[in-house]
Amino acid sequence: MAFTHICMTSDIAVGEGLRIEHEEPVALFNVDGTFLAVQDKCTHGDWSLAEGYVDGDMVECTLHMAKFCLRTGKVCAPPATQPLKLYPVRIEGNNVLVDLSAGAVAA
Amino acid sequence: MIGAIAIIGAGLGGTRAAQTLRAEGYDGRILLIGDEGVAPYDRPSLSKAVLAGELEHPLPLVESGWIEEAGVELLPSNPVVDIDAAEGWIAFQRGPAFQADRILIATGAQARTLPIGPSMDGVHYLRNLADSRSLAAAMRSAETMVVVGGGLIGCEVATTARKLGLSVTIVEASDELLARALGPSIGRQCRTWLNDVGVATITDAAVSRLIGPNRVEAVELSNGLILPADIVLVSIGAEPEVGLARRAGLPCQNGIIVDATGATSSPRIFAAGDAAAWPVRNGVARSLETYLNTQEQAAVAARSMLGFARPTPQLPLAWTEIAGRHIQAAGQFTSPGEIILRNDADGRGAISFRLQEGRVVGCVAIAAPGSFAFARRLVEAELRIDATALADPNTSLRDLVRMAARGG
Repeated sequence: MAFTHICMTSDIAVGEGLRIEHEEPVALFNVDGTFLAVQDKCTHGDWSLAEGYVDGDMVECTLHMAKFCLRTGKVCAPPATQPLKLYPVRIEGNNVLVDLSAGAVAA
Repeated sequence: MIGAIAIIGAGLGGTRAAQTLRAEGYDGRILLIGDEGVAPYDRPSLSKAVLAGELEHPLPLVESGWIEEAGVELLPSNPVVDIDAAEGWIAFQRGPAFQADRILIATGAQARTLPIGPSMDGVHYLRNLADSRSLAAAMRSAETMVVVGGGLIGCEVATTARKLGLSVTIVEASDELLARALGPSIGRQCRTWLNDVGVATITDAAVSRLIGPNRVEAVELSNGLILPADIVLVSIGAEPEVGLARRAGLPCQNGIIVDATGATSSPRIFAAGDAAAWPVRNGVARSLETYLNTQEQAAVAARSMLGFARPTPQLPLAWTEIAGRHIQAAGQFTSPGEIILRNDADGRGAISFRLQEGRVVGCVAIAAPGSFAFARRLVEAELRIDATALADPNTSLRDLVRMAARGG
């Protein structure tokens, strides 16, 4: 496990996301104060989700409007059929850390 | 008790309806009947990545194994030839008839054909995977291409053809490209971008003759111009596929006439997607020919078949990629009204809004997908807003969506 410091909690407003450049880019979202990280690539159209429309704990891909649950990675609306990988997030004080090497689809 | 549902058409509408039926807990029989001989697939790439050879197969519409796990009886190549509306009997091309408690007609639309002379080799249409494969093969050995019809498909294919190095000319009968789909002002911008990537465009001209003799070599236009063409793509629109419905006695006009729950005049039969003339918010019921509307109609009609009807008039929602630009549209955009242009704060993209009596009734985003997600919700809410505030990039669309959610 290798957590990397990404940003401060104040850097991402509620309902917004941040793209983290990495071998496999990661999207970090602030869902009503909870920070959640998923793969930053829609499983349908190869498109970044970081700019997606956040509604509750769902993100809507801006390309073809597939929706995913940010807590479970599961598909909530087509056209996507495959779930997103989730990444572990840790909050230390006001720092947001993500383990960029531990992306995995939830069981 | 409903124990047998037949879905005619295994494209986007039919497949999403089957998924909705299972998601709603229906555990009776589902027949998903296609005529292309393949498992349900995603069509938008047929004019883009699949045609360009960047993607070998279009994406599947459902997760692999879902059809079997869900117990959906997929009949990919036994077309329905007749429906009996009174008793629910469905007659197939081969084998015994089937009696269904509910029938969903999701047969889509067919390409409108060129109203001149006999067709000839080298003349293509694009609706399905077989069409895309055949056009892709033809494009590999061609140098010149004429695209007849400057709508979404024509402009998308012209973009792909340029990527592959063909010399391409779009011939459009009206005075602007994309006017019906996106309105003349967006059409004019797209024409400029297409010209910039090397697509020639001719408007106010129809094709009067294909020059052969057996294989097309050129097309002659109504203005006398002759354009050499190794291939011709005819993309002059689509006609809802209503043959079965008509023979079953269902009223049709711009598609099978349904209410906003997908119900036809027959209590057993429903319709969704391009085959259906579905009620449109602030507009005339029609076949919308868009991915997202088909998807929504299919889900609504599936629930209606189970007795949970919820009227859902459609807000048109479309996307396309033309000359490298990602374009998205929501609501009514083609009728006249006040147009407000709003540039994204980052200077990359822009959204045009249409205001009618102070309310947002339509928008088109160019290279602004993040903003479009908010903009389309303003259209859904028909937010009443001051034009100056809307045009100001410093007004947050996110705040406007929140305002709309509070009742604007």
